[in-house]
Amino acid sequence: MSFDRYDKTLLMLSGLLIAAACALLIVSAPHDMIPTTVGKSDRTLAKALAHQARLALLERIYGPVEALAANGHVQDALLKLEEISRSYPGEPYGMVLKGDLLFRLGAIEEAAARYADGVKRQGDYVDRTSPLSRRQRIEQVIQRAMGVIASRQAAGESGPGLSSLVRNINYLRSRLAGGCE
Amino acid sequence: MTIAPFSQLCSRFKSLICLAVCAAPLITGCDDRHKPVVKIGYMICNSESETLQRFLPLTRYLSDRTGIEFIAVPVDTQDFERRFKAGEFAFTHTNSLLYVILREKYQLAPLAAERRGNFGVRTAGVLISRKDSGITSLAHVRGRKVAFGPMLAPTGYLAEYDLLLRSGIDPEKDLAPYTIPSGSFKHEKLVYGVLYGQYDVAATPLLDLEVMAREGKITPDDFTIIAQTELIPYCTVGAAPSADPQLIAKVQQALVELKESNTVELNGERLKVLKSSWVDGFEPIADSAYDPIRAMARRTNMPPYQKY
Repeated sequence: MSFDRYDKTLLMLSGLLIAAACALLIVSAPHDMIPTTVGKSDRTLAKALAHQARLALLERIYGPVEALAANGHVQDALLKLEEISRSYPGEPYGMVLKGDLLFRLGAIEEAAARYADGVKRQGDYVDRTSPLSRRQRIEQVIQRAMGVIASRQAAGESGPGLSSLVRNINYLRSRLAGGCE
Repeated sequence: MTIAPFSQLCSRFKSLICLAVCAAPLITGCDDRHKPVVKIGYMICNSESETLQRFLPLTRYLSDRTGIEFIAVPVDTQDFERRFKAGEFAFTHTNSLLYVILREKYQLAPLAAERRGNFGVRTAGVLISRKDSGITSLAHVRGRKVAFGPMLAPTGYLAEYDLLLRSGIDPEKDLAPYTIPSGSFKHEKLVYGVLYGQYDVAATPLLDLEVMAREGKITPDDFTIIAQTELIPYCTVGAAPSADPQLIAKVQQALVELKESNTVELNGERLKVLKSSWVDGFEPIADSAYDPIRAMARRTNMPPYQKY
């Protein structure tokens, strides 16, 4: 089989095209597709970035609620939170925020339930080092709730409400105490 | 005396068996018909049909749990006391003010309180205005068009009326003549009335606002909460002193043990009892939990302490 000049030109051009395409793929490919050494520091950075993005998003979503609460309009804030919770029903931040508002409105039992729900979904709220930490507030809730439990038990009260309060407070206490370290 | 032949005896015995087999369902039917029947009076909230739709599954659940046939009787709030006094029903499901009235006058016993909304077995009343109205505090309410909920509503009328009085505003003298909307769904009408400018201020149960916001019927940004009352118990299940104590205990236990997963068969459908009733659960409650309502009723000269 012999190649004439036309065939050789075609082969050369095809080779050039393939080489150009490969170069283009390498240059324009996302960084995580390029076989480079993905170190621990990169993963830490990615995690930190995701965390920052999450914080910024939470601030954007729940900012109006927190602004109302900061201005003393706690009940308005709670209603606004109801509205937002339609779009983000399982978001632990919303649950913990509701716990904050209910605590301010004197509903200790319900506040404890919301904190327990939030902490079960995300441990950041009992982590001292997290910017989301609510340790101090949760400690206050536990302290107040212990008094409520004692007085209700002394009055001979029983029922699912009291059992659920005891369960939630015990859960929060165990989370604050931490695991085996 | 002649003895019937054996074949004839057998034939008679067969007839007897057939008769017994045929009669069995009738006898069972008779038993069902004579099953004890107990009525529960349900205070109508928004409308009779809505009340029945909500509480028929609960009534069926109580029948299943106790072996007694419970019948749901929807009762207008204004007629409740008269019909209870006449002995039309032994168990009641009412708002907390009606509970206090029946307790004070007829020794109704509290069995359980409904758990619903952000504050569990309690809720509050609020005074609301439209966000752009400039009405932001109780001082601004003076001389305004105010609408209240029905007169026997603890968090739609009583609590807010009391709050105004304690803030130095007499609703009878210091407001532009106040109104109460007519017909069904009064609480929702009040909220929409404020939104569309019919009233300057409305007294509404916090629970209704929560539900409307959660269902997307309103956006809280459109309203200002001018003031909120203290938290008080809301819907309550009670029993007349004449009711069988064992049955009372069974009903209370059935209510307290009611879980989200409990279902009943009703008109060919299997329904979740709590979800159908719009309730999160039931809690035993002491009569002393209603003392704040008693204090409000005394201050506002409302039943059962009304003096002319």
